[in-house]
Amino acid sequence: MGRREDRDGLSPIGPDEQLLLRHREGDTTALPQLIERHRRGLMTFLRRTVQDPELAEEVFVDTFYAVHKAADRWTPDASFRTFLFRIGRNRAVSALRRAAEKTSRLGTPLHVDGRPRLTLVDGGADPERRAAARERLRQTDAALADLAEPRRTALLLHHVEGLSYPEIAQVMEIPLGTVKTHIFQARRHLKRTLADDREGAAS
Amino acid sequence: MSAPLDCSACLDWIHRDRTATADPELDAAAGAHLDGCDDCAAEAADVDELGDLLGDLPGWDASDDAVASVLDRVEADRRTAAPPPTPLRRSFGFPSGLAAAALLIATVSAVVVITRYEPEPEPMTFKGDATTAQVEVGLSLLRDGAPVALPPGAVARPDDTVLLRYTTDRDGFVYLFRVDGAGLEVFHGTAALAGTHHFAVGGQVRGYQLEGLTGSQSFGVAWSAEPWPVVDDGPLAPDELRVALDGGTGPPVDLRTITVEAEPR
Repeated sequence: MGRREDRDGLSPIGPDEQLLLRHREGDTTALPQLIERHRRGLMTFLRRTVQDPELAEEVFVDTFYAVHKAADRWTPDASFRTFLFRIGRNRAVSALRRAAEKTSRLGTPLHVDGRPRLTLVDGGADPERRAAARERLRQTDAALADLAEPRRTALLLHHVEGLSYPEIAQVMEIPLGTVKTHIFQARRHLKRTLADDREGAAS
Repeated sequence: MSAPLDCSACLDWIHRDRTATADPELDAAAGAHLDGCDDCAAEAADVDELGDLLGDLPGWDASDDAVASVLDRVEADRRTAAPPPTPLRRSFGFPSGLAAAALLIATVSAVVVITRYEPEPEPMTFKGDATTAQVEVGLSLLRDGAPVALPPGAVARPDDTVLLRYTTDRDGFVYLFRVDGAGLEVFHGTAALAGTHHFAVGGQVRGYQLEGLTGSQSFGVAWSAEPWPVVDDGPLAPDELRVALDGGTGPPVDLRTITVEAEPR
């Protein structure tokens, strides 16, 4: 979950921040640890943002390399996670833009199937319940993919990455009120879409 | 006890920042409102269910190859940013004389020992014009089916396979090539978007087998805005590539050299 801020407004120096400082000072063991701590969270976020596994890997590499290049500019008034996800999100949006430009230039889609494969989820011992739970996740995933990028990003950063609204505002470089609006609208969209799916399945 | 909430305030509470510190009084007031308001209770249940669903969505790990690629690029950066040898400059104001000379010799010897510079191995070279910001190649080895790092000065075995990554900062065409004493071989060409890519054909990562090669081998990448001409089903390197490799003006290129030992282990 997201780190809370101290009373003085500065984020406390946590393990991530200590690792970044050590990396900045030339400790070659620090960056591998930082990557290990975030390789799943960042990768999951990037794959849901760019909707393409290979592109997400490229953006992952670019993001951590950019973290290294920008490490000297990091200051403790932002958590490392905010710093990391801001870079990752910017890189992902740029990659999407480039891919869209390329697609329009070539007239053919670059990535045909960007949807993630769903893993088995535990819906209880009953096979029907398991199947229903899987279907529900598939529908959620599809509804997420239909969301506009800023709304999807805000929602995922909050519900999946556990970032607070102020942290999301920093990551996305938007006002706090806009974060709330994005998350509210994203929930509305998902609720409506999932309700439609439910009605469709029932009829 | 806080004042009872109306629906608008309750809606704010339902869509509150879930990571924020709990407010027991506000939570109790919201709970009381939800007990008597079906609409707000349904909204709260929907938001909770959605949170659970999002939390249950599958996640993905970045591949080991992606992690290695980051670390390789950072390491390459560190090597190229290594400070030059510190020149040994001292001025001494000792009076002449045997004792002073002895002291001088001892001091200089000590300083030389302390500051002796160990040059880093330099496996990567940048040639051509304005290359460093445009294209970069990274090598690792596939040994007995497993990827292994290729630290500076490492020696490859003839039964290893070289895996190549390349990074370009702009869309265009990239060409992978090998150079040794016998000449230059372009073994792959493809259109590529800006970013980091692996030597891959049809989505499958490929490697370059070292079998039959010995001694110093350089693997490189060159970038071109336009595709190179194709001869006998293979891309033909333009003369400018040679010029760039010799340090002149040509396409952006990057080259890394490894040594292949003579006998397989």
